[in-house]
Amino acid sequence: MNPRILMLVVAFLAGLFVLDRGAASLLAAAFERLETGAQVGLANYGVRQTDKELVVFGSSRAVYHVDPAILSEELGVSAFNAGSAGQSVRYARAIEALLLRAGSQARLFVLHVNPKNLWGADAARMQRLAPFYGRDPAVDALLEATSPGARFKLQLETYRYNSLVVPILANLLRDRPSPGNGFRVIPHDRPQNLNPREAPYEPGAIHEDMSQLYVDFIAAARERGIRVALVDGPRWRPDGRTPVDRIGQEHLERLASENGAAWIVIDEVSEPRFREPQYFADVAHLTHEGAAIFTTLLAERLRPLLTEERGRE
Amino acid sequence: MLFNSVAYLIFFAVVGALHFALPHRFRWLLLLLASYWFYMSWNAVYLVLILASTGVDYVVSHRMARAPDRGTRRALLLVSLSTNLGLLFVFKYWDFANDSLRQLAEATGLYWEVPSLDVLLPVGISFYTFQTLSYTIDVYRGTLRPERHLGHFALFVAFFPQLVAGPIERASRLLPQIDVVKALDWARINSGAQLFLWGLFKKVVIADRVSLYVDAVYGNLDFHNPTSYWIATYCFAIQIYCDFSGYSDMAIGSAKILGFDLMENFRRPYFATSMTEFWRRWHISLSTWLRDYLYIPLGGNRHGTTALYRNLLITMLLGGLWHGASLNFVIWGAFHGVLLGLSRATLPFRDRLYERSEAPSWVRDGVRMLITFHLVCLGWIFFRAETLADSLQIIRGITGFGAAFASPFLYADVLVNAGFGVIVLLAVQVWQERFGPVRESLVRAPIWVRWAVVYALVFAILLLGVETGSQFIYFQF
Repeated sequence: MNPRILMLVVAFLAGLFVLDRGAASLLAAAFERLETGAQVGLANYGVRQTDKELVVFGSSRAVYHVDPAILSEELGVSAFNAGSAGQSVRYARAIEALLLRAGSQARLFVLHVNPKNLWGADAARMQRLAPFYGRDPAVDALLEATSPGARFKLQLETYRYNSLVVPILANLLRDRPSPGNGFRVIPHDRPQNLNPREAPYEPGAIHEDMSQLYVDFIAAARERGIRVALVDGPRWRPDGRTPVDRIGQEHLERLASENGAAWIVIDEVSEPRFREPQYFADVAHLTHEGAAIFTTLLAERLRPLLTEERGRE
Repeated sequence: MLFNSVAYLIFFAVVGALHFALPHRFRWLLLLLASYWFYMSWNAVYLVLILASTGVDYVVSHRMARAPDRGTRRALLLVSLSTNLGLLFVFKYWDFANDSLRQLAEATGLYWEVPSLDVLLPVGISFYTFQTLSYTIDVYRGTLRPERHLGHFALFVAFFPQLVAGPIERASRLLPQIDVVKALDWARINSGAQLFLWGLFKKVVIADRVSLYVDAVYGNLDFHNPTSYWIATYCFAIQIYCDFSGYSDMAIGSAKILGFDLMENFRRPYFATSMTEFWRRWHISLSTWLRDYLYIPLGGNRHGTTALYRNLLITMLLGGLWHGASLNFVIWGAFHGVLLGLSRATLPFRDRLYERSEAPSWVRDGVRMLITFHLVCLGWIFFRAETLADSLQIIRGITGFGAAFASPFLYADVLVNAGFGVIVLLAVQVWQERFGPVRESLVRAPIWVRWAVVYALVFAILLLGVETGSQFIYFQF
């Protein structure tokens, strides 16, 4: 190759490297202030809740079902809901790792499970945690698994802020209220939709890697002396549990038992009120009233875990 | 292997380096093997279909050239047509035709029980089928001599930059380029890389971003309101243009780096002031193919007005059906056929109106562009909606009959993110309409301007692109 062209290529790549690092530093500084927004802002806020004694993890079902204010009132502990809509156990495991690395003082982790995750979940959704790349090996491994080229792309530091420029700029331009304790309520004016999202089906073999994430979640917490409860909440199922629910719950119950975690199911079988449609916003999510009932019942089931843990101290 | 993936970048870097490292006489073999590898990354088994098309058309074209009479040539052409179109029919249209006949039979009380195939559509089959057909037809017509080198011909059929979604190249353009000795040309590589980058920008920053809005609305119509239908339809117009023209730019850019010139496939179609002009600017490789191998053989405009409108309608109907086996594509094609007819019929009237108007020409042209754009958008509803019922629901909604829950600004972040890309696209296209290709202007600009533009594109892709590596819309065709 012509030496001049070679020099130009090297200069161009060097410029790219410098600009990448420079832009990423600016974005990182702005990102530190981002604590709101359905995207990564809430995660940023969540991993700073190191003083909370009880932390809830999970998907939108955790977000809309578990009210930390009720848990605090019933159990006398500080609590935070670190759930995130659309996410799976991958995300929960990453947030847990970040929280533990930040020095969490928690005594109890509650993972609101979705049995369907045992048969896989969209790994690409983890992408929103890319700004945390490099902070913890477990998070790095999960991020690198989001797509075939992710490991390569994550070396570009600017890429870690992909799709975050707008929320970061919006956050810099105006102050937003704090996300509070992480609990959210489905708007009352949203029409109720109790139509099933899919027909029941017989699932194949459980994905070992997904199952392992639950094991890792429990092990990482227990290593720090934090108790873990795996919780499955109610769904609108007039026809009873689907094969996915049944097989998934049995697997998770066994997994919890083998790894020293508590297994709690609060559904239409244990609580007759969850056979009433008025407590559901849709087939998977409770209304505000339903969430209050669920959280109160959950608190009763969690109380012994905190008491046992105090006894051990 | 998608153009917007790290895998493709690595693949292309390796193929490009080897291509220029190898002596010219081996390059066709490298590109052919790379093309087959590229295709097999989707479905290795379906390579058999490409090999079958290649083999049949190679043999047929040579027999045709030696055929003693027109009748034999015609018979050989039929062999090629029936093989290529037969494969296309089986893999793409069998189930649609079968279902349609079953429904017709049920409606008329007849018994129809032919099993569906339920096979996966081979990616790019419509594209390479049309490409090989054009070769055979040109040989039949005597406008092209059959390619003697089987490897070169196989490369013409399977050349990876344009194999799965075009541009649909003509043998008379592509085959001679395989023979040309290509030196390592920095200016060409630079130009190709810029075009590839621009295509990638259109795909991941604009098309994939607005698709989040489009999918949310078109995937759950009952949940959204008429304002969302409007926005989603505009977004789809932007999405399909940026997706497909982005793919074409990446294909043309990749080929350019390797030393090949592929035909232009899009020429800022939403700047068209009539439907006729729209089809001169949209998917040019398909529209010229339809013109040369369907519309003109049908008689074109040579046999009176009625025949002209009939030919336009047939051409566009088949053009619609080329896109996919569904009633919606048939309606979309018919819609464009009717619009093209109306465009022709009303041209004198519209011209008179144009000349009599005292408004500045940019206002008059702007109004024509807006009307054309909205007619195209109306067609896109049929193109994007899952079913005819969905299409009609949207049309009812945008005309004011319908109510639903979601705020149109539920996905405001999507629109804001995409908005940046759309503004850049619009600025570039206005520049191109007024002053010509941006890349030609860039060549004359100082190096820091050129680099700034490239850096801006790279960082826009890194920061604003949707990075999930989604498929291109036209891969399904």
